[in-house]
Amino acid sequence: MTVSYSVLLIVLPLLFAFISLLGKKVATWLLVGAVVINIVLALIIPNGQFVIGDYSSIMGISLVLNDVVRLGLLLVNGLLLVVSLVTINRFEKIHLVLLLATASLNGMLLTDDLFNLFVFLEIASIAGYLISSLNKKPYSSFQYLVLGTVGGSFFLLGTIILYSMFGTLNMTQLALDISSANPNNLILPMMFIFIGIGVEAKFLGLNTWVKGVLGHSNVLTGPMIAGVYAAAIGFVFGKLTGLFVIEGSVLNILMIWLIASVLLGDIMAFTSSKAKEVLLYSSIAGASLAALLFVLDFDTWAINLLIMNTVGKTGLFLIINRMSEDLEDDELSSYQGIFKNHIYLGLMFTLTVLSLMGLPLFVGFVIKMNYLTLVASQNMFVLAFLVLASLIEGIYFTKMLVKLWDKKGHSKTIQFNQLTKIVIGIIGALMLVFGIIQEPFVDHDEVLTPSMEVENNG
Amino acid sequence: MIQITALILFMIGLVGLFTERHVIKMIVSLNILEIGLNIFIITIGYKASGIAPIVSSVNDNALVYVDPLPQALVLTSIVIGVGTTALALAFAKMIYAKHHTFDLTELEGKL
Repeated sequence: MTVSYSVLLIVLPLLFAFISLLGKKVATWLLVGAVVINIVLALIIPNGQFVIGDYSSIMGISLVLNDVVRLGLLLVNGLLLVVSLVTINRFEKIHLVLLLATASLNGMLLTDDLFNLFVFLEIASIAGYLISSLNKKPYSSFQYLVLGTVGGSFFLLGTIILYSMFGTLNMTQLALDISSANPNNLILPMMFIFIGIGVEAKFLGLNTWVKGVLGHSNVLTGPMIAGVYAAAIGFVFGKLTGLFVIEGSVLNILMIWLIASVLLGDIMAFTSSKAKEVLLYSSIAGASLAALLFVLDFDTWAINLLIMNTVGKTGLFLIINRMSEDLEDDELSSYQGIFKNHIYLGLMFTLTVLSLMGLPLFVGFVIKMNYLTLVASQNMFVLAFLVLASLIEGIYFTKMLVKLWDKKGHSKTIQFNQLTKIVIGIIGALMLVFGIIQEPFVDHDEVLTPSMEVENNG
Repeated sequence: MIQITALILFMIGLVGLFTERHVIKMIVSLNILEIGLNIFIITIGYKASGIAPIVSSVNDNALVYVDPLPQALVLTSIVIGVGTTALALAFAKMIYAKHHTFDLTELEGKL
């Protein structure tokens, strides 16, 4: 098997999307089948570059598969598989959209062409708008569409300015050309591109759509937007930070922007009394924090944080959205004591939350300690803000757990399907296991650092 | 000059999106923004006295071709724009069916 097979990760879901129009029963199996095949392909295809149509790689579209991209593909498709299996029989006529989302998210991770990235970003966004429409809140979906389209337009504007400057859209070539260019000339296209990706990445000022979409999310839309999409966009952001040399005033602007995103996200979560809102603002803070680590060049820990956040939030949204559906309420007070009757789920939920808080014995602690140590060696101001954000995060998650375990609460029992229980069980166990066994992180660092360096240096 | 015009169109669309409170007018603003962007992309490939980049039997190195890549990019961008507009109109229809208004001020009052 050669790297040319990587194109199957985009083509197969697209083909299956067309076939899925034949019927609902076939569509369900096609979706699950496509995601499983993607996972297998992501595991067995060797690293390398595949130039579509044998054009010169500077002019043609090429796909690049390395260890970082492989990890992204496994994460995105793994989360997609979980979401598909848990929720798929509950929603009709969404299989085609999910298959389109699969193809475009895989394409975003694989492509080495900036315009091709824009195309996949737009297809993924359109699929995202359609997925959000399952919330039955058309105004929220419309807001998401407007902001997403404006973001996409800025991304395209930045892309075309780079093309006019360097005469290529190939990201590897661009990274080489940009490294020897005057950084002042790159501020405008770089900011346009980051604004473009910032809408999907939920950065401050560009995330006004999140409250409407995730605040009314259901068991499919919540995990899809906060888990699957956030994972793919996070990896793409990492890829784009590798494209530019971020230093001087641009570094300061991005740092202030992202720190403000993290802090405000955590403060909003702290002030909210609604369970979904706590999770959605926490997602904003988590995505911005991972982006900040990418900007500061701590790529390995940014990736680890991204994986933990997206996997954890997928599990939490599955549970909270199921509860809000059953209780027809989103106020945390209405969930008071709910885990009394769901000891196992409550325990796994708690393990996941404790890990997201970064408490010892959990994977979140290993990640938090490592990135805080690295940040401390570079910038004490950033460290102070991150510690403050951690503190706020700890308080609102503790408040949430206390409420959910409160003995005085009601005794309503909610029906969770077996798959949800298995999924949250696996997520909770992973959070604990990787917190105790830390060797994979050392290996992970050894594998990812060279991949990111190759990507960054073209 | 034409690039400045394109960017002015882009800005008009952007200002329209921020100031308009009517769903359909917002979609029109979105289209104006996209048209401005598409014209800007086309101008990137423009060369004075350039001809269409079509290979012919005439082999003259003095011939100047316009850059075909921005034109190809614009075609894709137009297709994406059409898809987004169609979806935006579908959402507008759903908003009207649910809230009986296209006015966002009125709609936000109801929410």
